[in-house]
Amino acid sequence: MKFKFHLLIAFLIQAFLAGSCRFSGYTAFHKITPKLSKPTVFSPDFSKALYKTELSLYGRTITGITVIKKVDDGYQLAMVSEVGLKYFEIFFQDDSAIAETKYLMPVLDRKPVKEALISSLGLLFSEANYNAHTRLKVNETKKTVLLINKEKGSRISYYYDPVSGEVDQMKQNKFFGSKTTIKMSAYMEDAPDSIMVYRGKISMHFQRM
Amino acid sequence: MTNIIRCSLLLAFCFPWLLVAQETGFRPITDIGPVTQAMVNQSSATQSLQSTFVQEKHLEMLEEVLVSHGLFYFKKENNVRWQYLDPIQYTILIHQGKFTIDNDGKVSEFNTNSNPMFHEINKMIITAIRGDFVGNADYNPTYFESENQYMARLVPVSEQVLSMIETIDIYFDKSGMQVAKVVFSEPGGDFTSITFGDVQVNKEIPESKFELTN
Repeated sequence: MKFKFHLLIAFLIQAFLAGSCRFSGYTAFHKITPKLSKPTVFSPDFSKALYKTELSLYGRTITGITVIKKVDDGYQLAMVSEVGLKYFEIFFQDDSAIAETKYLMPVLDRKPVKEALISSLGLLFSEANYNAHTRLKVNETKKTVLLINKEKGSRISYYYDPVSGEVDQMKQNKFFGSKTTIKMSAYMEDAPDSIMVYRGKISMHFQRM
Repeated sequence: MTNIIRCSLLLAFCFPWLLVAQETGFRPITDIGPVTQAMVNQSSATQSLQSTFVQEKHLEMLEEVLVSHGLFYFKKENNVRWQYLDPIQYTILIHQGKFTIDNDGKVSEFNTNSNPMFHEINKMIITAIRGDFVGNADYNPTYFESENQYMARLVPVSEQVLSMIETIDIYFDKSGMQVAKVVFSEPGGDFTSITFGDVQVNKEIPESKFELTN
């Protein structure tokens, strides 16, 4: 019994160490200077973009074109197949977690698919918060800042360029639920050229046209 | 005074509908027998067809139209090459019961039944070209005509198809009874039009057109 207890303690210490190393290479960033930009995926002057899209759902792949459009109070996002039929259309409201599914093709209209689309794509349009719970870290080269928001049982991490604000990677960890990772690259003026979304058995790749 | 208001309201209500009627210029056909017979005759005589096409996707959320260009090949019985050239390179082949997609060099083979939506679209396009909608239990057709064209409006019978496509309008040129345009209208007001150009009927199409050689 004593032996088992020692094993348990060792396991807990190891788990704690592994957890504390999650952001290894990053040190706390104490001072928010005016030069530090806010993390940005779509710049304020973004109006619309077309992305060639590959969406993989539980082993099945569908392809097409995604339109992202800035509207007065949020973003409209629609994916259509190459032959023209719409797969889904979702409206994401600015600065909030509110999303409205305007259309979802019946074959895709399954609760886990709908939740995954809203949750992971909504992350793209979420705005980082600066409050008492916000943590800021910077990597050794000072070229990437890590901003961590904790709220409502989830933690969102933004890895971004402190000067331009361009986000390279976003991660959402929920206490209960799937982990979402979004990688962005090759920013072209107002939005990234490539966006890759991973969430459990669902992945999406958007390549700007 | 009341009459003037009534007339104004009536005109305001009717004006958009009058405009639509003028714009489309199509009226219902009362005697459909000769028209459907001509469609069936033309479809039986069509062994192969090749054409260019322009696809326009109209989304309610977007002012601009998404335009694609490509080439279309059809050979009896069920061989189709549906090749998008611009702005994306994307080819769909239906040949010997196999359904192959070349997505910018990435080739995948499918069972047509694995993608119900695509299966339906292809079925509809082949249906349109072959004139199979005449007497086809999958659709409820109504027929219209303008000065130069006939239009068959198909309403899918299946609830599942209906939830994706409300109507399919197939336009035929009166001169040669060839399909000139197909319009797929979706719930919510979005629609896709595919306009065929440079149509060549019964011109030899090599089998290789229905194989992906890369």
